[in-house]
Amino acid sequence: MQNTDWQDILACLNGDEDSYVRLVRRYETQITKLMWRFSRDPAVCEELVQDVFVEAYYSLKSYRGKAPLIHWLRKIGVRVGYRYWKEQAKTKAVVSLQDFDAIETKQADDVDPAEAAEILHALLARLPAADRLVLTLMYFEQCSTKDIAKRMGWTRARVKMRAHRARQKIKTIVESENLLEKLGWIR
Amino acid sequence: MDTLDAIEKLAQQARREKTPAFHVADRIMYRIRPEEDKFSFVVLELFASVSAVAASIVGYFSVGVLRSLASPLMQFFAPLQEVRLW
Repeated sequence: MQNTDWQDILACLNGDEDSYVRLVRRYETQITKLMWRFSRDPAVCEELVQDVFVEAYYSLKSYRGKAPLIHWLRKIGVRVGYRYWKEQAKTKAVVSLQDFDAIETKQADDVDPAEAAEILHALLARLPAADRLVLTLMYFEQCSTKDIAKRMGWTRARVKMRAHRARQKIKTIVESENLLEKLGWIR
Repeated sequence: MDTLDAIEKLAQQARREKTPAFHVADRIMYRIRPEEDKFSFVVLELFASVSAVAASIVGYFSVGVLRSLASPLMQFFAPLQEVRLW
């Protein structure tokens, strides 16, 4: 862990608010990147980023410094995002994959990564929250099953099983909607 | 191409996306501060203390009056005596 992080954490625990502002500014970009995987609505994403840092602030006493602070923040971030998805699942509105005609004829290198992210996000949104979480972390964050298990407090076997089932589900969705024909550039 | 390989390729492209930047420090500190503000608790505690003292005084006199009554139940139902103000 960075020495500056530890100094700021100690100062924060002693009531120095400016030290927490420094911590937030140091990691807000990385946490925003993570939370963007949970919501592509800028307003919601910003709210989720705030939730992560507010939750981290109140849990700061429990941080032992065994792993880098960003790992700990990401763990909180994943749980905040997962909770958000579970709340959203009650009023779930499915985005149709038919809305993604724009990238039909492009070559792989020309495709805007934002468009690719948009379609992958919509695709994963079809899955139940736990399956979606596993594949989101695998595809977007390149997390291993071990990393996901650690972040969520699940067993590795459970993550592997979820990943396998989630992949089968996503495969069925893609094939049933003829997405591969639509996304000619990925062939 | 296998469907899952195609999705993996889609993910590779998606990972290159630039995410928006937010500056949330001020909002976070705003959300944290009100809960730490102990002033409201001090006022609440002060009000509760004053209320407790007032209740104790009223209780002290009430017990004295109650003991002086021969039959508190009958007194309760008895018509209120007129008190001459002048």
